[in-house]
Amino acid sequence: MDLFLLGIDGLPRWMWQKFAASGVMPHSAQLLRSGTLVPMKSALPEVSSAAWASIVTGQNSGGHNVFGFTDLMDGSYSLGFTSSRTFRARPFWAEPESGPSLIMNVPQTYPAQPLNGMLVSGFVALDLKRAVYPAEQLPWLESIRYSVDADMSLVEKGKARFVEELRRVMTTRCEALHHHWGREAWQNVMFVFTGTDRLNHYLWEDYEDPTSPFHQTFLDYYHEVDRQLGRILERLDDRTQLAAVSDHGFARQRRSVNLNCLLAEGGFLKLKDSPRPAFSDMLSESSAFAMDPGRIYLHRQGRYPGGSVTPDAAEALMQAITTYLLSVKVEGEPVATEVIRGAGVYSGPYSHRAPDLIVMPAPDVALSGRLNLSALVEPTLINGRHTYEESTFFVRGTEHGVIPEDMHVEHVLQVLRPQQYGCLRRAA
Amino acid sequence: MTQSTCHNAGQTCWSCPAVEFKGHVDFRACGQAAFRKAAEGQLVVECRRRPEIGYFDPLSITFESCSEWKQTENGYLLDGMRVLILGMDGYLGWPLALKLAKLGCRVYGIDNLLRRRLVAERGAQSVTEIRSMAERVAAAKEHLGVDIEFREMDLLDRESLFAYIREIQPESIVQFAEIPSAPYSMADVERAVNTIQNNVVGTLGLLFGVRDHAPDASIIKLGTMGEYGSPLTGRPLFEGLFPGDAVLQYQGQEWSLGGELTPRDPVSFYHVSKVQGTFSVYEACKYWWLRSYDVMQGVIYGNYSEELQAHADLSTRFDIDEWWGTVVNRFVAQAVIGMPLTIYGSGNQMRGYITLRDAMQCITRLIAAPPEPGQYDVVNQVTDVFSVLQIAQMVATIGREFDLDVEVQRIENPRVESEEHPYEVIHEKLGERFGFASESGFADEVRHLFRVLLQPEHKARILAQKDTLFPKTKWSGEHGTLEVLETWKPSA
Ligand SMILES: NC(=O)c1ccc[n+]([C@@H]2O[C@H](COP(=O)([O-])OP(=O)(O)OC[C@H]3O[C@@H](n4cnc5c(N)ncnc54)[C@H](O)[C@@H]3O)[C@@H](O)[C@H]2O)c1
Repeated sequence: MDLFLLGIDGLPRWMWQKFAASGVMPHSAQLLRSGTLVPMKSALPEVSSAAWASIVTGQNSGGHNVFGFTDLMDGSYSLGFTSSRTFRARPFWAEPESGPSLIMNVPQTYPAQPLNGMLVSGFVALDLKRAVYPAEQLPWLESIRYSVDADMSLVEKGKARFVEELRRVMTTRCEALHHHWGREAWQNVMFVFTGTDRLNHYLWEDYEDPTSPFHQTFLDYYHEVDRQLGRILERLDDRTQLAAVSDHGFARQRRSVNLNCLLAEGGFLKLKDSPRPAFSDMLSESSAFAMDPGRIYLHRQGRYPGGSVTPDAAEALMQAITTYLLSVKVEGEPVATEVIRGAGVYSGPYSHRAPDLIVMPAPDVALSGRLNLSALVEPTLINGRHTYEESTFFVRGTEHGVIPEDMHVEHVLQVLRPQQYGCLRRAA
Repeated sequence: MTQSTCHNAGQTCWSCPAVEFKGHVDFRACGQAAFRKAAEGQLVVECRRRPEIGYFDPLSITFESCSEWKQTENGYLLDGMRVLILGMDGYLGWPLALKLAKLGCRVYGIDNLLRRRLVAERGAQSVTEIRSMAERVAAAKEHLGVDIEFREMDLLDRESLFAYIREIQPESIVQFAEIPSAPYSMADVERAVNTIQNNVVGTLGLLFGVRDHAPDASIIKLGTMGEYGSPLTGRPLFEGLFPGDAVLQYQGQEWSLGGELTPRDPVSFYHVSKVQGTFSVYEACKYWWLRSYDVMQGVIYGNYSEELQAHADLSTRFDIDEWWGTVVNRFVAQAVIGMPLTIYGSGNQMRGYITLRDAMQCITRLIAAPPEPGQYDVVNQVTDVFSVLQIAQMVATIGREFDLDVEVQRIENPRVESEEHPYEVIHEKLGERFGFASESGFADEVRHLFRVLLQPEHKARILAQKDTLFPKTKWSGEHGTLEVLETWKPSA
């Protein structure tokens, strides 16, 4: 095997270090001593779909066309969900020279596309039947009750039940990995733990509060992740390049703020009266709208059927929105720390599809782009949020390309495969 | 085409049966839940017809903007929509099959030909001769150029039914396959049980079949206005559910009734079976996210539709006897053979009515505008409210145009029902929400009937079953002839 790329969704670099040091993750402690761990920056905005797409292609959203989980279909107000069908760049395992690969649970690979090897899609994958390539591997996965993702609705039944489900999903996923590992001489294996992200979203408050009855549950889950990591390390030989990455960092969330509500309050967004608003309910005089998590799009003439913002008006409008969002307060606290211009951020053939502005959330704040404007601060059980900073990059040994000073998710392949991806990047 | 005929232009993919529910996703936590009832999260669907657009938010695409929905005179209609008509051989089933097929639907149907047998057992017959289903299907091909698929099948044969549903994957299912006669259901225990068994069990089984094999199909369930009864208080007969601002006042306190099912007061065991059907469908929508329109249909009359006119071999059945005929149809037949029109009791019983042609338009519009998953709604499918006396008078008057000297007769009421009662039917939804506009009125429809029934071969078929027209079945269980109370010739 040439490469084993391990993903641990939503694991902050500092937390991995801390858990390694404190004994929660002993195998990690050993692993981290054998290579280099650095903080990495996520995609803009810090959303899993875009970040994983960058990790596996070496490009940013302008190159792979994944800007979030949702996007409006070109020239319409139809809200589509990004998937392998809208993912436009080639992941490393699909490069012509790539040998057989075992790809398990990588986000944005659903529905499963043919490849040299085997792939089981990661989230969002709503139907296991179409998450598996080749299809003949499906019955076995079904027989072990493999699930692409934990059933998130279980959160409503309580944290204990939810964590139990996360553990079940992790166990079957690891079973699947080990089952398929020995079936062929894989050149590349990529495997992602997802439960860490789910746990962080819903039990972050318990992690931060040592008196919480679920504090230990949180640590135990990471201990189990580490145990599974140990099993993997045991099986890997020393010649295989081993890297571990996460797609974003994590922090406490105290409020989920609906950006569209703010835009409406600021007079930028105007919707027709509708019990269940959709983007097609946007009135022509609307000048901007948001999509999850912090993407703001000007309602541009030509780009949207009812768009009214002319190129001349765009600059002043972006100024106005930026000033507004940097000054507005929700529950007495700021909402944003920075509003970034999309035009300067992305490179590649899909850059024109980028958001005009990217809002970086203030501490404690998660941003949402729902169109239902009934609540500025949305009720949710989620109490942990992604961060742009402090995702994880680790590589074992010293045989790798230069790790950039300012490491981003789209640099991962360049470090791991400098010959191939180093040039690619220079060309871009 | 005007905007107003496209009642469903703004409906979204969430109502479309071609869309497959995939899950709820809470993108804020990147998580998914593949259950319809997830409390939070974004709806995610995929279009079975346009898989290339990938997963999307069903609320963000409307029928108007979807290439699979084509504008017709009955609103946008899903191109080549697969419609399964249960009871296709019946009075309503056959004309609906023709109409939908003409509109470009793929029409499938089953029937166990029970109605034919029951009418024959009674010594009655359809006044218009009807062909076998095989001949009808061939005639539809020949005269209208449409393909209709028919299978002889009992709705109660669940194994066959479920296999058929699995096979054809209907996008809409119209449930006509019931025994529709009040007097039949009151005649004796066998027939009462037969009615309940056939209707209640048939519909219940169907719901499980839909749940398991075509959960996105919309169910158009035929109920009847008789489910409501005729409340003596004069309380309006709302469309199945109380309006949002309805309030119950009792002992100085108030409770909202908004959205609750209105009281049902069925008027025969047949109607009891219909009420049970209503509850079964209502519950299935709640438990399993099925979707249905429950149609509280008025009494149907007439035999005109554009498609039926194309050829005599396409005729739908037309019954006039005590058990299987409905009042207007029977009155015209009686007038044609010089028999007095028989009014039960005072004749002041009020009922809702609608022509066959209008009923077909209504059902088509309901099919075109499917409810959303889990949605149960009721429409009162009625255009006019008349008393029986009024109908007799109008039929007699129109009969004169055909040189018929029509008598009217009051007889002892065989039914147990109130003969004097207020009757206020709310029937707004079909017009307001589904764009229905009546295309046929009482006088024209009855004139058409006279023209048809006066043809010698039809008149002969009425005379041949003359004995079956006068009622014999008493709700009370008593036997004996009903007394004639008075006979007169209505003045012009
Ligand atoms: N005709 C009216 O005035 C009127 C009024 C209100 C409601 N309805 C309702 O409309 C629907 C259609 O009425 P219609 O007048 O066309 O009646 P119909 O009897 O002519 O049609 C019903 C058809 O269903 C078939 N059927 C009955 N049980 C079946 C079974 N178990 N399996 C397969 N097929 C079966 C019959 O053979 C018949 O062909 C019925 O549900 C009826 O209750 C009719």
